[in-house]
Amino acid sequence: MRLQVNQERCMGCRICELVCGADATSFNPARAKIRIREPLYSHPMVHVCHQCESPECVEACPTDALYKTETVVAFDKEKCISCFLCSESCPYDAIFIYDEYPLKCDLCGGDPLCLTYCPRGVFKLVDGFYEGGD
Amino acid sequence: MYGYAGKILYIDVEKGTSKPISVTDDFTHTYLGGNGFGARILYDLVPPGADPLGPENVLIFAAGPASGTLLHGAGRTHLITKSPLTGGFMDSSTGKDFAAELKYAGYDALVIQKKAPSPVYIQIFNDDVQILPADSLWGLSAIEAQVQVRKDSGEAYSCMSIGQAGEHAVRYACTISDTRAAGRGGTGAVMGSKNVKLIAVTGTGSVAVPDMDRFMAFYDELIPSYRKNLKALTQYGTPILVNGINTLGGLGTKNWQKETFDKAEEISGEVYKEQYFKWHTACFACRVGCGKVFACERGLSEGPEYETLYALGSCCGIRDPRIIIEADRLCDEYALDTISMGVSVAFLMECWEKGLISSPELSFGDGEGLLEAIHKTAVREEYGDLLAEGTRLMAQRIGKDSQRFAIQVKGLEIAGHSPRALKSMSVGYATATRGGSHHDSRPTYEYSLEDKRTLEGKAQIAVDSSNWTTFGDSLVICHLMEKAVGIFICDNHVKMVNLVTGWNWTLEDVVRVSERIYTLERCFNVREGFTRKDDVLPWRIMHEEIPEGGSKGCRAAPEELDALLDRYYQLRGWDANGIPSIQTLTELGLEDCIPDIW
Repeated sequence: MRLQVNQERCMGCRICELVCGADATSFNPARAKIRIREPLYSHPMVHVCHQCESPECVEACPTDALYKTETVVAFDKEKCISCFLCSESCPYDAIFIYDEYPLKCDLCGGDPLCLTYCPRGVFKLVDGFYEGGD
Repeated sequence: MYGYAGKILYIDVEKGTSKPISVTDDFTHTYLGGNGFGARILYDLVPPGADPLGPENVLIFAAGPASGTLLHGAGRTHLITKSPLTGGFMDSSTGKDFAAELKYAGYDALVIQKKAPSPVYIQIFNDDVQILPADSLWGLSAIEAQVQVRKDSGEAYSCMSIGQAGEHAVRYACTISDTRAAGRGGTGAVMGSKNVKLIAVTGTGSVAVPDMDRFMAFYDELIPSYRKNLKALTQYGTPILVNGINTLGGLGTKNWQKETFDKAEEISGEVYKEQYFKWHTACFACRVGCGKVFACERGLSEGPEYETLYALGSCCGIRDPRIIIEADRLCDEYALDTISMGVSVAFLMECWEKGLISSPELSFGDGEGLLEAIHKTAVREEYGDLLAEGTRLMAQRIGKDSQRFAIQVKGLEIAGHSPRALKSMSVGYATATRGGSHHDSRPTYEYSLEDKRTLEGKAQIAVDSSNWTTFGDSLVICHLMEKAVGIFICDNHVKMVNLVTGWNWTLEDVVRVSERIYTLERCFNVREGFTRKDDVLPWRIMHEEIPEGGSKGCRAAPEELDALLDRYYQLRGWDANGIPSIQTLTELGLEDCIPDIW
C-alpha cells in the first residue's frame, strides 16, 4: 500500500505537515513524516515515503530497523542507532530527522491523515509497492 | 500557556545582542497577540516625535496565539512600526509561514531596536539567535537575498527581507516573506533604516492547544463553509473582484478621475486565469489558496492581486495584463508596495497631463513608462526620488493645488475600494489608524448591500468591521476568511480564541479586546498630534462626483463625512475631536494613556 502523490495539485499550504505532526496536545510540523518544499517561484513539492518495491533505505540500514512488511516499509525505533544512513540514501528526500530519530511515513496504519485533510486531493491510497512511474 | 510560545525576543542590532522576555498572562489577556502585542510594545517603546527612520523607532514582527496551529487562515505575520509614510501607527501583514516558524522557534514576537552599524541579517533557530554580516546580501533584491540565505542555511528557514527600495528609504518600501508582501506603510524602509536586510527563522517546538479533539471538531465543522463561500478565491484569487467592482462603478481609474475602466475586462481575473495562470499557492494552514502564479513572455509573478490590478492597472490606465505581471514582479523584487507605487505613478501621470510638471513625460496608459518609474523609484534615481516620497509629499513639492488629487489619507495611498461609492469605506478610510487602508474597516459587507448611497448605519459598519479586523490581526487569522467565518465578530471567533488559548471568553470579551487595541492605536496617533483634522479624505473624493458608471454622482461630501465622523466617534467613545475620552480609556484599561493625550 502506498500514497500516490499528484504533485501538480499541491499548493503548499502545509496542512498535511500540520495534521501529520500533531499529537494529542499540540501542533508541530517538525514531527511530521511528510514535508512540503517550495523554492521561491517554483511549484511546491511533496516529499513523502513512496513505499518502494526495492527500498534503498532498507538496504542502507545496518540494524534492520527499516524493513518491508507485506504492505509497507516499516520502521522499528528499538533497533535504530540514529546513523541516518536511511535518510541519506532515500532518493526522494522523504526520510526526515526529529529528536535524534528518523521520521518515515507509515500510512497512519492505512488511513492517512494527510489524505483526509488535504484540501486539493493531492493524495490517493493505492495497493502495492512503488515501482517507479507515477 | 496554550496557544502562546510564551516569549518575546528583543534584538538590539546596534549592540548585536538579543534577549527573550517572558509574556505574562495579564499581557496575553489584555492584548491577545499579533497586532495587539505590537500596538502595546510600539506605544511603550517609541517616544512621541521619534523619526520613523531613526534608531528610536522599532520594528515588531508578531504572531498570534493561532499562529502555528491548523486554525483556518492562521498563516499571516504582522509587522508593526511607526510609518515613514504617515508618521503614525502602522500594522502591515503578509502571508506564508514566518509567524508559524517564529512560534515553533519559541517566540510570539520579535522586536528589532536601534540601528546596526553596518548591514546585518538575523538568523534564528530555536534559542540560537545570530546577528550576521549582510555585506554580500546588501544590494540584492528581496527575493535574491532569500534565495541566497536559504541556499546557505537550509530551505526550512522562512525569511522576511527587504529589497533595494528599503535600502534607499523609499517611504513605501515593503518587506517580502517568501514571495508575498507586507505591503503597506513602509515597513521595508524602517527595516532598511536599521541596516537589517533579512530575518530568517525556523524552529522545532510545538504550539499547544487545550483540547485537540474539540479543536479538530470545530475545524471540520467549518470546512463546508470554506468550500461554499470562498470558491471564487480558490479558483481565481482576488483578481476576480475586478469586473464586479468595475460594474459597481467603484474601480479607481486614471487617478480616480473616474471609477469605471473601459479596459477592465482585459485585466480581469477571468482573463488572467484563462491566459496566464500557472499554479495555485497557499499561505500556511490555508485551505483556500487564493495565491495564483501568473506568467507570460515578460516574466512570472505570484500575483498580481486585485489591489495591484487597481493600482498598477486601472489607476494608471494600464490595460496590458502582461505589463502588470512584470510590474508586480519588479515591485516584489525591489520590495515596493504596489498600491502606493501605482497611485504615486498615477498622480505623476495626472500632473504631467495637466502640465504641472515638465518631466517626466508620463501619460496614463504608458506601460513602459510605469516600468521605468518603478526601476527609478527603487533606487531614488532622477524623478524616482520624488516618486519615492509618496503622493502627500509629492504634492507638497509640486504645489499648484496638486494636493487636490493626491489620493491618500494620512499619507497612505488608498486601496481599490471606493470611498465615494461605499459610505462605510469613506468614514473607514478617514478614521483608519493606518490611513488609506482597506484592512481597518472592510468593504465586504457594503458590497453586498442593495442601497449603498444611504448614510444610515454606515458608521456602525465601519466600527464593527474594524473591530473584526483588529481581532483577526491579533489572533492572527486572515481577513479573507470573513465570508466563511463571519464578516463581523461572531460566535465562531469566540470559539477560535477559546480553542487555541483555553480561556472562557465571551463575545463581549472579544469585542472589548478589539476596542482596547484599536483605541490604543488611536492614542499612539493622538500622542503624535493627530486629531479630527487628520480624519479627512482626498479633496477629489470629497468634492468631485464620480462622473459615470454604476456609482455616478457619488462623492463623500465634507458635510456627509462630518456626520459620519460624529457618529463614528460617538460609537467609539471618542470626543468630538476624535480623542478617546477619559471614561473610554478608563473602561478599556488604558488609564496610562490619559496623561499622554489629555
